[in-house]
Amino acid sequence: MTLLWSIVRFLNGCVLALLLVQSVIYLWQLVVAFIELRHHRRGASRADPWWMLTSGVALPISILVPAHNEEETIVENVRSMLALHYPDFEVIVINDGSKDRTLAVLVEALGLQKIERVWHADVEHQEIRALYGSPRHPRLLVVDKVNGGKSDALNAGINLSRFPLFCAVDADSLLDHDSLLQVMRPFIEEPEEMVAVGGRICIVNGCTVRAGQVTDIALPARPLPLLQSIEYIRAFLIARLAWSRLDAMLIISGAFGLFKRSAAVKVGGYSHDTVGEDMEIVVKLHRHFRERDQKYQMRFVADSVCWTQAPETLGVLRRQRTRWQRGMMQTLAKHRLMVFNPKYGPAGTLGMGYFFLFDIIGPVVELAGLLLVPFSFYMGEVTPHFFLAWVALTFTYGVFLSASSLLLEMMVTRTTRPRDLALLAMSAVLENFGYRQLNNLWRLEGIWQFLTGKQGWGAMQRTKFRKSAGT
Amino acid sequence: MGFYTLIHWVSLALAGATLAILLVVVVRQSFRNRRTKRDALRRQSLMALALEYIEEPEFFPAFKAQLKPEDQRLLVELFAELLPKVRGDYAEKVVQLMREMGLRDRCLAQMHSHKWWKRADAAAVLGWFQDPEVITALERALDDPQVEVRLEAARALTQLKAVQSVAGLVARLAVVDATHSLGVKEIFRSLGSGAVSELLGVIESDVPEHVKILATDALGHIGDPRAVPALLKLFHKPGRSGGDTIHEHKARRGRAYSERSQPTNSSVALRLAVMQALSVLVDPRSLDAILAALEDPVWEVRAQAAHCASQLGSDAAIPRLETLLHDEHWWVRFHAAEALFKLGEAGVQSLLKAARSTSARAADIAGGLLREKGVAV
Repeated sequence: MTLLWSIVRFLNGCVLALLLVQSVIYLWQLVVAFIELRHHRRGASRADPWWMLTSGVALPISILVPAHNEEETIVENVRSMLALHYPDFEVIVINDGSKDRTLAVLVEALGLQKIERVWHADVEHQEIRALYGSPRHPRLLVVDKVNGGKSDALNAGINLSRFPLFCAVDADSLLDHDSLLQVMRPFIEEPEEMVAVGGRICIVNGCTVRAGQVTDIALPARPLPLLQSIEYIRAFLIARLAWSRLDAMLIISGAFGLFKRSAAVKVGGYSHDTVGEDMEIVVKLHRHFRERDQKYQMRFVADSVCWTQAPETLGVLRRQRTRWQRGMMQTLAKHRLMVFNPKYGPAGTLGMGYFFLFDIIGPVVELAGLLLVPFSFYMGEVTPHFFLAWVALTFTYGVFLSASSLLLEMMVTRTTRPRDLALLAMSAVLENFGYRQLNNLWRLEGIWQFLTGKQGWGAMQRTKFRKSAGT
Repeated sequence: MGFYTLIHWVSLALAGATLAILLVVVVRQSFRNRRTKRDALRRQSLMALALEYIEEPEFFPAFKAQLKPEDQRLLVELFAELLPKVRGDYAEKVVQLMREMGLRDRCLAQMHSHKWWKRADAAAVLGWFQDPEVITALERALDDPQVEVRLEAARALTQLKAVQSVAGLVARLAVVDATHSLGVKEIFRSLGSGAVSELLGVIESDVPEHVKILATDALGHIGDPRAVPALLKLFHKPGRSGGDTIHEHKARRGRAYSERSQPTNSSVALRLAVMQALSVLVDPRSLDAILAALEDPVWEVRAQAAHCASQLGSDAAIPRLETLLHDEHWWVRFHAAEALFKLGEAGVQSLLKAARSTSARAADIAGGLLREKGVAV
């Protein structure tokens, strides 16, 4: 029994140590993110969208939109993309073997016809059945292919694209009209070294969408998307910004990322053997350039916004989070050589090391702490000081960070309603009591699914965007 | 103080900070929203007043009488947005209005601000005022320690067609971190035909290769045919490693980026820049260089040369373009096929012949392109 308590006490010590290190790293990230945002905002004001539109500096972009069973929203999304403010771009929609009427609604609504286009298989993907285009929409190309998953669809899009940059955008997402101009900025500053740039993802639930544009920004009415809103703000405005400044950014969201085509082709495009293809391609790029000792850069742009639908039910959210965890585990396992390896620079030591410690070990330890520490305290095996320190580290720091991320949000978004900020502030507190723990549980489930070799994405629900009255 | 006590105190402090942050966030945002709304309304009415002045300049005293001291900031923002979108007489009237309202003087004073972004903003607006005092201030700003201010000043000077010396601009812009920035390229492209002689001097002088590339790109975009002979000379004698073979080039590609960007091995980038410039200039004197570039060891140069050949529209390129349909690199084959198609009937006939040939590479690209363009194979 004494041995058992010794083990429990040791585990409790580990829990506290990990929480302490995590809190210090979060605070450091917060400071770095603040510095980066200040720097970025001053630089951003220099790149006037009008100048970018008219000066000829903006490089042409192929927007790749993989679509699988998206009949509800695809037409509106494609129309919104065709109306983006950007000098030279093409939209390539890849119908990845949808079982619903995705292709049919596109053909009907946009007057598409079968066309020919010469292309080269730079990266692997499933067979392409047909290509569609329309003289009414010369910028649009629709690819109908055999189902092979999102990575496979994106690879087909890469092969068919003819511009030096491609932008991967989810079919259920909407871009702000000047998002492409904003996300392009790092490529204007560093056209040779820049290989990838990520934009910010915001939750569209609750917002009003008209003609494919978010016309009225509002918070989701339902609690689950609301909690995800603060989670996204924290993830993008603290973690992503900080990692970007430290050259350790390992994820560019699959919903919105701009890549140099030649760099993506060099690493073989998107991998088929992972469900976290967005993280994997970024890690592959880091690995490729580091192993060849070539200079490269990747950046995150906080004011380039993509709107996406957040899951509104626990079941769908659970599937999404377990899949994210599985994808991250697959990437870490595949590139385990990079973890804490100084050869791979900040991406290996900081980025991969962080993911390993706090996204794989972290959830296990945090949940173990939730069970063990209160129990040990109840049994008199840990002192009240220890118990209070654990409570402080578990809850206070989390609330502080979420609240601080709202300060950063204010720096980026200038017109949030005070009522919405108050709601976000409330969510910042509440998410630490239940939601965060639930997320950890799903992460554990994701780890389990990875260990047992589960594959596949699981079904996601798509709903039409909320329109304003009179539309 | 014990370790746990420290954690307690720190967490207590953070809890207090959290409350304060949340309060500040909500209260500050409500003030900010109010100000944003007020500014938007005021901007709207200022815009209406400004438009009235543009239509009827005699309206100015009435306009001035309606202004409040805090309107100056809004007016500078408003006009900075408006000016790039208006032309000719309208632009002149707006500039005149700004001058009469003291906004030029305000911007000149702002050039001395200790905040670099304010200096950069002022430099951008001053780019609309054609007068010696402004030009002196902008020239001084070319030596600003902050690169963004130097860039804005250079852009403003090019807009005013008041760049005193291209060499001076090169010294201030092309040796900084932003050398590769497309923004710097755009400034050089905007120099106009008045700067051609100086740009030619730059490409003929002993300057680093990235500066030559910048000048080459600018000469191409300015579109002055005087640049052609110098560009052709540059193409044939690109630098210290002019005659590289494809094997040498491939060996270099494996080296570190820092090494590759040294002048000894960057002639590929220069040849590419010359080809890009020639494809904009479209001058018959460049035919021989284009034909030579179609056999360049580097695929990017061959592909660009194919595009260049189609721009020039000379049938003399057809035999070499036909050869490029068999190239090992797909993008070269593609550009060669596109070039042949653009060359008209003779090119299309070449493509039809290639589409029916036994060479899989040539048949694929030629047939594919013809089908894409709606030609039956």
